[in-house]
Amino acid sequence: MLQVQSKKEAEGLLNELRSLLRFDNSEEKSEFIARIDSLQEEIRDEELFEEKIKPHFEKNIAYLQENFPDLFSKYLATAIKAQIRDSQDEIIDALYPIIGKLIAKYIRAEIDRISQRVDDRLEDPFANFRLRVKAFFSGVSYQEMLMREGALAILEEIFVIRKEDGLLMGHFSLNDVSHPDMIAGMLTGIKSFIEHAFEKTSQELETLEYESYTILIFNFKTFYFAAVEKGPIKSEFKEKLQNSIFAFCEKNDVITDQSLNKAVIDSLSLELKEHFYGFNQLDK
Amino acid sequence: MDSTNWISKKIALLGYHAVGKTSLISQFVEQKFPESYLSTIGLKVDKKTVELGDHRLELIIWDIAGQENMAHIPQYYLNGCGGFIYVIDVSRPSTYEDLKTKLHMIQSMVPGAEMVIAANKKDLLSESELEEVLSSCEIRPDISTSAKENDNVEDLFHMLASKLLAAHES
Repeated sequence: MLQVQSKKEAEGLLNELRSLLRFDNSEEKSEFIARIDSLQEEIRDEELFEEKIKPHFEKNIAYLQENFPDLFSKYLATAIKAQIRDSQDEIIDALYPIIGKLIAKYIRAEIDRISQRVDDRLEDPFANFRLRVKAFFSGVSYQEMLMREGALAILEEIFVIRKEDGLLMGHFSLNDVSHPDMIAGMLTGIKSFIEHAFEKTSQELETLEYESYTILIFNFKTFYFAAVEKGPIKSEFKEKLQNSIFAFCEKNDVITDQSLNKAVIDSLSLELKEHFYGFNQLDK
Repeated sequence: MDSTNWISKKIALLGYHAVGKTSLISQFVEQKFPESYLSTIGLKVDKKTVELGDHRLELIIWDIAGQENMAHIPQYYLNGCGGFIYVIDVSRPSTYEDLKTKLHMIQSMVPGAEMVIAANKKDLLSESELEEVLSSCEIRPDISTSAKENDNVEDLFHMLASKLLAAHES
């Protein structure tokens, strides 16, 4: 233990201690200041700072990108709902031109189709005369008669499909359809599924609809016809198609109890083409 | 080619879920291996023509959603099937356990249909491990395949096509 003999000696020791402490403090202080300067330099130097923080940002951005739906979908859905609720007019204003264009495009296509059919009708003098007489006696204007006939459904393609295995037996199409045999298989799968799903084994699926197309199904014992048509279906169209199919079956043997080879399929497809080619022409 | 030698046949791929049925079809039909797994919902129909000598077989392939219990396969999907491929996953014992009963069940649903058993995902095992699995099956698979590496996929479908043609001609 340090023994202090006098006040003077104690003061001397204290001064020495102070100087020591002052020295240590100043060294630490200068180190500390140097560190702060270095950090300030790193922050001021944009390139250096960016280099330091870039990996962290990239990591966080990647994490956000990967987990965005989990992290924010709840808040986004709420925000979107609120935005739609609060700004209905603005949203309608923004969407109106886009929706309007789509509707206009659809209507234009339909009008073109109807107008084409009206032109066809006008070019046929006999049908033209018959329609005028019909209009006169029915009390419906000639113009309306023309429009009504123009808006008929169009048979686009027809398939004959074996019920047991869904194999295509024959096919005719106004357009080039790729893989009709895959369509035949899927149609059979869907048809079977629907018929069994509701356990109504005695009833059979008759119609499938998608957008402006309808698939009308005409069931026979071992095979079925699937007719794809476009446009609004009226009972007259369905009846005409059904009669045409019956007439086809009377005229041609649709034999299912045989191996399906290309010769059989091609032969039936040709018969379908001959029979249904003029189906969409207007009745004389 | 005589058009009577160009015949259509319906076949089906059956087995547990995720054994690689859709991948085998995808590799066979489109020469593609789907990297991500998407479970088949219900059914998907594909087509590929196989040439065997002077015959051309148009295979209409029904990819039926995987089932653990074969009795749950909808009968109406199997109606009229000329043949089927039963697929097992060599890395999952549950897919090839009790094979005899499962196949017996399917055969009772499609009597007379030709059958090929495919041991898929062979790329996941070594030669010796694969042999061990094949030997442990109640009925030894006809062919081991890898849809991922396109190994034996073509041969698998040709094997069934040959059986179908032989049955057709007899």
